[in-house]
Amino acid sequence: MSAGSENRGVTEKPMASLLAGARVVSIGVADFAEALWSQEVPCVHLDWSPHAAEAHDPDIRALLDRLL
Amino acid sequence: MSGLVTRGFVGRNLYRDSVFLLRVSTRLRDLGGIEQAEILTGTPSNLEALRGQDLLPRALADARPGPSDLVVAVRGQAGSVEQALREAHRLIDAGQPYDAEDRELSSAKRPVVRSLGDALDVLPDANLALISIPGPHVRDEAMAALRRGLNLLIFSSNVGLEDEVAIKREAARRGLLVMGPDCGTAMFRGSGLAFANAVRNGPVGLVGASGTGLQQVSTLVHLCGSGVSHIIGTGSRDVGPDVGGLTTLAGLDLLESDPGTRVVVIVSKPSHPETATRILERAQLIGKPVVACFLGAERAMARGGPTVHAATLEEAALNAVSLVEEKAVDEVRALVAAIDGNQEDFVEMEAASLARGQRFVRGLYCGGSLAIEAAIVLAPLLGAISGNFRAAGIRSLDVSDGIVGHAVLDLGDESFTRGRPHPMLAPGLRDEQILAAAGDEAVGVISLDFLLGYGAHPDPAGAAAPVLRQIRQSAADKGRHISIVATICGTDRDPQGLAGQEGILRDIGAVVTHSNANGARIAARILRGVGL
Repeated sequence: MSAGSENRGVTEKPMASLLAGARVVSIGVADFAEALWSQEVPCVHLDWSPHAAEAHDPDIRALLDRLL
Repeated sequence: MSGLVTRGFVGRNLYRDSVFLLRVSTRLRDLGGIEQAEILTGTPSNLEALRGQDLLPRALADARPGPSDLVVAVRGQAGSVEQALREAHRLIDAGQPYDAEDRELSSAKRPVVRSLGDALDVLPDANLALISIPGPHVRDEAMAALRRGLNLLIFSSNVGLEDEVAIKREAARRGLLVMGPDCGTAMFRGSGLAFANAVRNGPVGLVGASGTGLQQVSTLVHLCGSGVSHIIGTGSRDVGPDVGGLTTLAGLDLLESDPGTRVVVIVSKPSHPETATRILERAQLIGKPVVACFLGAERAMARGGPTVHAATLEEAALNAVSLVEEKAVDEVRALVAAIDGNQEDFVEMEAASLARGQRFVRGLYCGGSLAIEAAIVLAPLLGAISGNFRAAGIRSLDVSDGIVGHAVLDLGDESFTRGRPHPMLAPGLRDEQILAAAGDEAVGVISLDFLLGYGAHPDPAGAAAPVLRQIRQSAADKGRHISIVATICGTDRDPQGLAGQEGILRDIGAVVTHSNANGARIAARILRGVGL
C-alpha cells in the first residue's frame, strides 16, 4: 500500500473476501446461476418471486434495519 | 395476412424472470403459423406496448391484468395460436423455458432454494448476492443481503437513485462492496458474473461504470496475451453527482490491496466532472500504474501525474498490457493488428464496390460503450457523427426525428428497448434497424458489434446471419453493395466459440475485427477509399 493511501484496512473488510473468488447467492434470473454453475463457481439460486418476498413481514424487516 | 387471430391469457400472481419470458416468447414465435407472441408482466407500460402491437384484444384487456400477473398474447393462424397457448401454459407451469427432462430442478450441484436463509444454509460462506429482480423490489432484498454480510452485484435497472445511495452507504458502513444497480459485468479470480467474457487470469485489474467497455478492454487484454485479475463493475450512475463514485473508489481500494493486480484500468462513460476528479485524485495515490479511460469526456479533464489517459477502450487495453509487459505501446498494438490480419485487400474491394452516393456509415451497437467509442473514433475521420448518447464532439440524435448522415446508435438505450428485451439477449430488435439502414440508399457501411461470453446470446452471429444475408442479396439484386463491418467482443475461451462466430460473419462477407476502435477505422477507410 502506498503512503497516503486511504485503503488501510481494506484487507480486514468483508469485501476483501472477493479477491479469493466469489461464492454466490443468485437472486432472480436463473440464467446467471446456470452460467456460474457452468464455470463451477459455488452458487445457490434463490427462485425469487415478488409474492414470496412480500410474505416476509415488512415490520420485522424494518426492525432489523434499525437493530443492525 | 388474412385469417389471423389474436388470443391470450392472464396468469394471475405469476412471476417468471425476464430472461425466462424472453425464451418462452421466442419459442412460441418459432412455432409454425405464429406471426407474433409476447409474454410480459401486466404493468401499465407493458400493456401499452401490447396495445401498440395489436396484441391486446378486448377479452385480454377486460381481464384487467395487473403488475403481479403474466400476460400471454399470441397472433397467428387460429389453430397455431391455440397450440402456442397450450405450449405457453406448459412451459410457464413447468418453470422451464425448454424441455428439461434431462435436468433436475434442484440438486446438490445446482441447488435452488426459496429464501435467503435457506440459501445461506446451503452455502454458509457465500460472499456475494447477484440480484436480478424488478427494480422496485431491489432495496429490500439488497438490504437483507447486506445484513447477512453479502457483497452485492445488482444487475437490476429501474432502481431509484435514493435507493442506490442508501444501499451503497449501508454497504460502506459494513465494509461491503455494491456493484450496480444496472451493473452487467463483474469478475473475481476468473469467475465471470452476469455478462462477462472468459479471459486468462493475469495482472490487469479493471473497475468502471461501463459494462461492454469493461468487456472490450478485458478481451483485448486477453488477445494481447495478458490476463485479468478482477473486473469490478460499478453501475452506470456511480460516477454521477449523487452517488459520487462510492463503488469506483471502493473498487480502487480493493484492486490496490490485491497483490495479484499490477496495473489498474478505470473505464467509464461520461461522468460528472467532480466525481471524475475525485476518482483521478484517488488513482494518483495508488502505488500501481493506472490507465484511465473516460469515454467521450470533455478534454478539460484533469491531467498530469502518473495516470495514463486513454481516449478509447482499445488505447486503455494496449496501454495496460504495455505497462504490464514493459513493452512499447506500438509493439502491443501490432499484436492486435496481427490477430485481425491484413485486411487491406478486402477493404479496397469493399470501397470499390460502393456506389458514389453511398456516403454514410450506420453503426448499430448492442453495447453502449462500444457505440460511444465507435463514434469518437469515426468523428475525426468522417466529420459530423450523430448518436443517441452523450459524448463530446458527437451530435445528439433523437431517433424519432429520423436518421440522416453518419449515425451511431446504442440499441440498448431505452428509446429503443421500451420494454423489449435488450439486443444483447434478443437480436430481433437490431434486425429491424439493419433492414432500415440497408434501405437507406445513402448508407454504404453498416457497423455491428457481437458480444460473446457468459450471459450473452448463445449464437449472436448466427442469429444475425439471416438478416445480413437478406440485405446483401437485396442490394445485389438492385446492383448495389452494402459493406458490413463486424466487431466480435470475445475470446477463444468464450462459450459461443470465437472461431465459429468469425466463420459465420466472414461467410456472409463481413470484415471481421476484434477491436471495436479498429472496426470504426475500417468503416471510415471503406467510405473514404484507401489511404486512411
